[in-house]
Formats: sequence, structure tokens, C-alpha cells
Amino acid sequence: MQLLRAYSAEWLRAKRTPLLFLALGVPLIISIFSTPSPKHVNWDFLSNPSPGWTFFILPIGIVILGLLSAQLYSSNHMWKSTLIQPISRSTIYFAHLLFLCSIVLLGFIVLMIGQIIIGKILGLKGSFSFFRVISSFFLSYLASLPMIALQVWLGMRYKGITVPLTAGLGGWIFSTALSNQLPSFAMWHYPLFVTSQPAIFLPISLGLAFILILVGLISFIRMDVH
Amino acid sequence: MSDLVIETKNLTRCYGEFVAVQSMNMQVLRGSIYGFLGENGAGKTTAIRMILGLIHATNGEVYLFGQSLKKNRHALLRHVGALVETPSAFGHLSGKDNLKYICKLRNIPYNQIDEVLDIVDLAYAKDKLVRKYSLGMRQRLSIAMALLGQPQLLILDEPTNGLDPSGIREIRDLIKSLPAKGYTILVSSHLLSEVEQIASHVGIIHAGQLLYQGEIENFTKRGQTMIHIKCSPITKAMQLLEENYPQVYLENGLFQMPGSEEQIDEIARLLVYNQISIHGIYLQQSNLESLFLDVIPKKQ
Repeated sequence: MQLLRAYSAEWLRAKRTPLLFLALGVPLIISIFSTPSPKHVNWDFLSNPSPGWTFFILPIGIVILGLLSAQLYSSNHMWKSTLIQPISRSTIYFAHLLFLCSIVLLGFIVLMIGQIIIGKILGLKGSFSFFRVISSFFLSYLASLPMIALQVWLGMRYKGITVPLTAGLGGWIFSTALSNQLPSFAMWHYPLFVTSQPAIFLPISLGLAFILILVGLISFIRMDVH
Repeated sequence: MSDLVIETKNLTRCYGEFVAVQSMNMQVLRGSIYGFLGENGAGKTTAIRMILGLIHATNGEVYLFGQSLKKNRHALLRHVGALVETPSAFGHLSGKDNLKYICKLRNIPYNQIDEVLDIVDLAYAKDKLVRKYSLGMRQRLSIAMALLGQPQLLILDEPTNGLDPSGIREIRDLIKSLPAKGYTILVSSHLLSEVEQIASHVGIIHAGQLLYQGEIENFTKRGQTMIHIKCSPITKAMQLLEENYPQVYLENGLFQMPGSEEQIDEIARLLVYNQISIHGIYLQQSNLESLFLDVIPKKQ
């Protein structure tokens, strides 16, 4: 019950912010403007999230959404007002995590629907399986959880934007550099790799997300609010 | 139920070598307005943050309503409302939406929003975005947030900070009106005159140590009554007064000495007899400011 209340407070807090516009608008724009030529692609291609999305937009988008969301607390001095309420810190932490997971999920859903509609309009060749599309997008979403967990942790732990922004962008650059030789260490590109090798990247993603959520939770509970 | 709404036992907070609050034993009685006084950096905000569980104590414990905060945090914070230092509210939301946010977290119905807005006189601006509020309005909104859920204890940290004189007066009148509604209030300030006008009890903190706490009336009784004399010629008067009253001293052209009402006549006669013109002579009761300065150690 407490978690539901805190989660609903998160949505209220997001009113009149660019969070929803970015989460819903960007994937919509991506799906429209990255319309492929029907001569070159078939349903195999459009059954997965667009590579532009998983490679670039998603990792950077998570950094931006995480920063915007956490900064609403920091820049308005709202951590102290929130944390003196009769609600546990872990509940506040999970509500915030759940909120960010939700808006990223909404982005995936919009992109998926956009890609399906465009594929149908273009009359792509190959067999279309709704189950395959959903599972592919969902796998990619699950593989983005470590990035979300990291941004939630750093955004809640640090007042300024420097640490979360550096970690997010630095991590993405680092992952890009490692993606060929050591893909298992390229956390920011797991959403791209997971669709082709789910047996490897799904357990890694979920395990890493679990560890980052736990570390973030402990850090948030122990944090002094000045 | 305990008569002590707040009790801290040896509450200590260190930052490395620096001791921000040292073995503080604060006691706030039910129904009182406890003025928590101290200079900037004395440790007031650190102490308040520990009382609210925002920062962890290095040592010691906080009891609210007779129960340990560590063990019963959620249940106890249900009865506490607070404004900590700067006013805080989401600038992109309206005043009403900010109050809704707190209602959701506290699990209280929205119908309390209009009540608290009326108390802080902000109903007219409830739909306005907070970023368009003046500092005074933000401060009142933060107090409204603290009042939601009708808490028994209100903790207000520097509630008049940054306000203009009329804003200060509004907040002061508001705080003074609250004990009648059943609130116990801990109000911290570095403005002695503010605390003097509203508090029933006072606690003085300096360099992290609580140097005094008790009823403000008892505290002001501790001070000496001073006789202030303005007369001329000063040199002759100084010589004469020093011969008769060794404790006399001159400050800003005004002779001052501890004394009582009965002595005024005697002093006036002495001065007049020695052809010294008296321009003014009156009795000055010690105020909180002079007592505060007596209590805190002098700066090197």
C-alpha cells in the first residue's frame, strides 16, 4: 500500500515536466523517422527494437530521464520534505525506481507499436509474429534495467548532475569501446546484444540490475540528507 | 503518555574531527513553544535533522512522545510536521499539487488541504505555480505542508529566514496561534527577538553544546536589572559614580550599573548635589539578547 502511494506521488510529481514528453515523444519520433525502405528490410528487422534506439537513444535517454527525475527532488530541496514523512526510505527508493522503469517501459511500448504500425503500412515481407515482437522488445527492456538502476542510485545519492551524467555518458563511451572485444562488460549495450544472445545477456543484465538496486538501496538508506 | 514530546539523550554528531552536536540532552514539553537559539553554525540544524532522522547520530538517541525514533520511526513521524531550513516545494507544481504530494505520502485525505491553506492564508494562491511564489509564500506553503495530518509536534527550523518584516510578523503570529490548537512547537532561530516574543521555553546551543534550557521566564529572571544614566559633564560624573558605585561603566555615552528601582532616587540626588545635569535615568530589565550573550562563551 505504501509503495502504491509513493508510486502515485511520483506520477503527481512528474506533472508539467518534460519527462513524459521525452519518454513517449522520442520513441514515437524514432519510429516515424527511422522508417526503413521495404526493399531492404523485412519483419525480421522490425521485430527487434531499432538499433538506433538500443545503441544510442535508450542509454542516453535513461541518463536524461534519470537526471531530470532526480533533479526535481534536489533542486527543489524536496528530499528532506519527502524523507520526514511517515514512509520508509526503501519505499521512496523503490517508488522512484519503479517510476523510472515505468516511463522507460512506456517508451519501449510506444516504439514497438510504432514499428508494428509502420511494418504493416509498408507491407513488409517475412512472417510477422506478435509474440516474437513482444518478447524481443521485452528482452531489450529487461537488459536496460542495470542502466536504470545505476541512474536511480546515482541520481538519488548525489545532489548535482556531474556524477550521474559522467557515469552515464562515460559508461556508454566505455561500452562502445568494449562492445566488440568484451561485450559482456558493455552494460550500456546489453539491450542491443540481448535479442541475439538472450541466454548470455539476460542473466547478466538481471544479475547486474539486482546488485545495482541493492547497492543503491543501501546507499540511499544510509544517506544523510543535508 | 509522556509529557516530553522530544527528548534527546547524549545526542552527538561528528564530521571527522569536528563535533557538530555534542552530548545534547534536549527536553521539549507538551504544549510548549521551545525556542532553540544559537548563532549560525551552532548546531541547531544538525540537531533538528537528527531529531527528524534525516541524518544519523554518531552517538545518543532521540525519543519522540516517549518512544525511540530508531525503533518506531514511521509511527512517530505520523505525529510530526516539519520545515527544515529552506522552504521546499516542487516549483513546477501548484501549491495545491505540492500539498497533494504530501497527502499521498502521509496517506491523508485531500480535504485537509483547504484547511491548512486557510491557516497559512494561502488559499488565494493554491493554483498558482510555486516558482511564481514569493519567498514568504513558499515559507507559508512549507508550513502548510508541515501542518498536514494535524501533527502534534511541529518542528520549524529558521521559519523566518529571508523574510521581510511583514512576512516575519505573519509567521510569528501564525506560530503564536498554534499551541491553542494543540500543537507543541520547536522553533529554531538565530533571531533572539523573535524567540523572545513567541517562546515559552528556550534552549541555547553554542558550538554544538546545549548550554541552557528551561522556561524563558526563569531564564530572563537570571539577568540583572541595570540602571542607565545619561548625564554631563561625563568626566566629572564618571569620577563621582566610580567612587560610589565601583561596578559602573560607560558605554556609548551612557553610564550603566547593576541596581534596583530604589537606588534611582539616591543616584539622582548624588548627581544633582554635585551639579551634574541629568538628561535621562531609567531601569533596564535584562533581555534575552544580553542573557544569551552572557551564556555563550566570549569569542577569542
